[in-house]
Amino acid sequence: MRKVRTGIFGLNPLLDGGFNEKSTTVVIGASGAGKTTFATQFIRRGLVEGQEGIFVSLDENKEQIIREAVEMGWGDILEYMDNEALVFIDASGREFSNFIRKELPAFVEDWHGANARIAIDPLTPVMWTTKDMYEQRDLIGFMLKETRKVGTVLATLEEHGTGDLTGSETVIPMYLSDSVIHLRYKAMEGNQSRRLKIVKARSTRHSEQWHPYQIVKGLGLIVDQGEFRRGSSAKIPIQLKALLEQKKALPPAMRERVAKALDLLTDDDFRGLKPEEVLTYILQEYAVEE
Amino acid sequence: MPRGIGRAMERALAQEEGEAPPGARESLLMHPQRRELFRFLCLRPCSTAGELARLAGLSPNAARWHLEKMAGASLVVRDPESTFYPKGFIEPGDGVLFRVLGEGGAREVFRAVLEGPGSTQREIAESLGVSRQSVFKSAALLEGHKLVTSIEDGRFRRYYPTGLLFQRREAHRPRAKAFADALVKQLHAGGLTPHVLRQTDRQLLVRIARGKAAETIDLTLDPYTTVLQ
Repeated sequence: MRKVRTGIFGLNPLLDGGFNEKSTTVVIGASGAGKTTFATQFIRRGLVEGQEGIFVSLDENKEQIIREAVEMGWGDILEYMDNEALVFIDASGREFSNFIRKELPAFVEDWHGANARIAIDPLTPVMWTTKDMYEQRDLIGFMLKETRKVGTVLATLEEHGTGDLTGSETVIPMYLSDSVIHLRYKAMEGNQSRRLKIVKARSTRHSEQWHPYQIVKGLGLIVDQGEFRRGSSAKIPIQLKALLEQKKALPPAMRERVAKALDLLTDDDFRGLKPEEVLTYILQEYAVEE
Repeated sequence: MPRGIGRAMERALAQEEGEAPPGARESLLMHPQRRELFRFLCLRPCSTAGELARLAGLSPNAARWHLEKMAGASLVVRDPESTFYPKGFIEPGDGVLFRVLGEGGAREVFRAVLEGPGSTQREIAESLGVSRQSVFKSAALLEGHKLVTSIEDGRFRRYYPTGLLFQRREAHRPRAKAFADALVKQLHAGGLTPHVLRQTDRQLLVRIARGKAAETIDLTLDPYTTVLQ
């Protein structure tokens, strides 16, 4: 799986190198968490690599987002817009959902093989074009499946309520996208606290911890990697490999396959599982009677 | 690789414009659910998003989203207690009265006292079909905010309405007019060509239009009407 850099400082190692190319990611967060900044950073990173960028804004008008990006210190996006590498589109949720139903299949066919970055900010008004949850699922599922054929897609989602990701508006896109990143923002008595967590990332060994992040003028989101994989050791896989060597009951082809898998792992991957336990389970599954 | 995917998407999306005129989503009150929420906000200022959702038959999240949009456009104010009211519609100090009347059952107990001055807790409980404990709780809350008063009468405590809400209603009249005028101005500035069909002390009826679409906003200007009639 090819990786594309996210553009968010500190995030790539937490995602095993970045987003998977031509995958879909949903970034969920309350107002003020930095969703639009996240999306802008993601698009801008692609532009630097020569990828085309499309920013579909379904809430703010595009002038507002461009102004905020320039204030952030990212005035270069104006040049990208001039040569049409970057296109901002503002539309209503209704317009965009009609586009998904009617124009999207032909559009994707026309641009088959393209490799753009597409941000949809936020997806929420599209969900609200219908009350019917089955229809919401159909619409969002179809949109994500089609758009990733022409690029790497990032959609933001407004989080309302308690912040535990259980609302139907968050659950449906979370199921349907390849990756989910949850931004949590709390403002208390002038202190702001921001943390993010990678809730899921298909085919990716990702961090499962909460990571504090800051929004810094000129740079955007900077994620603190904390203890993640920092000098993380591989004692458990090495020990497990040594134990396996001694077990003759395991067919050699199987032993080789497990050993190969162990080479890629660190202690973090086992999260408290002891090597002896894992060995027992492997033997239970594959050992042959001598 | 051919370039120009962004412009192509923009063109494809532009075909959809016939169905929703550009800028329609900025014209907040053209949206039926927002209009409905705004109407309820005038009837019951200082309600929570949850209460308004119930009144308007929306999900709490949808109501909250629309309310935040209206707050962002300075149509609605969200106060520190997380309740909402139309901007300029009430004296900020009156918020507490509306919130008290919004507490579970307090409005009903107040109405019962208004209709039967001198009622006892038991009489109120029987007429409302609720427990005496809940009447006691609501009555204490109302009394604490000087909306009702009570006197001992032997073994009973009898409740009477105070004139507080009637005074507040009188004081509200000039504010209601200023609110209506400001709202019409705001609609005009938003390009909705408002046409006032009726404006009294109690009601504002305005037709708004954008492009070919036209809607009517029907608002009560007297938030005391739901408790005092």
